[in-house]
Amino acid sequence: MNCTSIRKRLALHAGGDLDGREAAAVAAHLKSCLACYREYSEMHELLGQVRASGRHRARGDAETESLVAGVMRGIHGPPPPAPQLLPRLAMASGWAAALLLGVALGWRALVPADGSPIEPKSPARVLDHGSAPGALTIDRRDGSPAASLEEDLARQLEELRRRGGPSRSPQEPPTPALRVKSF
Amino acid sequence: MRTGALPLTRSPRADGPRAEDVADSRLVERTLAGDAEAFEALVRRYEERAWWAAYHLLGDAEEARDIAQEAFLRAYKALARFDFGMSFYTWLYRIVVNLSIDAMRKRGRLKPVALDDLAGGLAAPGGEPQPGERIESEETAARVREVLGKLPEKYRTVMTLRELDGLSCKEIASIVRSTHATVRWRLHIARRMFKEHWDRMERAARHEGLSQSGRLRRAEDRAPQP
Repeated sequence: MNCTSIRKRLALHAGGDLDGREAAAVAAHLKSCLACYREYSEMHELLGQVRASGRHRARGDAETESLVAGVMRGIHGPPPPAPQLLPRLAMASGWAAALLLGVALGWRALVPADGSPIEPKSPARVLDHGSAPGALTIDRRDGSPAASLEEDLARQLEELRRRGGPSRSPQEPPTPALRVKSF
Repeated sequence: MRTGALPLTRSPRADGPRAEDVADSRLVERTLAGDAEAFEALVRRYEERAWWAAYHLLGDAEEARDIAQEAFLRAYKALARFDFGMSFYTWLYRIVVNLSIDAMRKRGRLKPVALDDLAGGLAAPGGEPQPGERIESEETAARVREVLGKLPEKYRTVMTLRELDGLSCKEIASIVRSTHATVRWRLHIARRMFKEHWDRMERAARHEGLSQSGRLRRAEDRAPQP
């Protein structure tokens, strides 16, 4: 090791914080390098002073008793039990399952299985076709709730299926991209 | 050229479960079963270390007592969640350090140690120190605290826990929830920064001392001769 790499370890070596091999390598270098040894020695002496200053002040029995009494006064009854993990997990799982179900139902309602474009009747109005072919933008400014729109779409989907809706041509997109604009 | 390790006041703790940890687990179990005296035994076992940890970080005896007290109360309330694979000592220390850091942030800076605080308390165990020695150690302690206060918080915390509380780098890593390598790196930086500030202070003190003695000499020269 050269002086540059040794100097990066001197501060730790001076505090006894290097492990066996590193400490041995640094110690071997210090035997032959006066500059590094001087730096190590100064740091080691300084750390000795710092550590010795750690408990310069004595604590009396009165201070100890005061602290212990303060703690015991703050304790009322046994320690509170840990929060029950199982009910929490069950609740979280339930919510996750409900969310997934809702997304799945919504997806099925918005994206028909046969790929035909959805033509909503009312109350929503179709504003324009989006940039992608078959993309529709539905205006909800009339304040119709999401549930009724989805019901409408589901009803229309059902109707199309009963009528045996238009077959998909190769040029048509597989499913129309439906963008719903919410206000 | 002598390069053997110079005697240090503290050595890193050995790894592996200590007899203390096993005994602590039993006390925690008894506390959870409703035995308040078991918790009091834990408090008595660690109150001094908790107090010193807070004191080293905050520099105020009263505040250190409040922090140590609060740490024990929080430990009690969270005892049902205690991880028996961990040492109670390390867990408690983590609470003390976090509370102390919060207090430091609220205060904005490290409070310098008041001389009254340094001189207070009963005699140190092992006999009464000589007056000269006590004053010198108090001054050194005050200077150490002043220089520690100049370090950024993460470096100050690591250096305080290592040098003043005698914790190993692994214990510190567990307390501050960092890696061993990060703690070592911070300790390396902290020591170098500490030494720079310390050397600067010493140079300034020497310069002031020289200036003062120079002023005294000039005043004596000007004083009328009897």
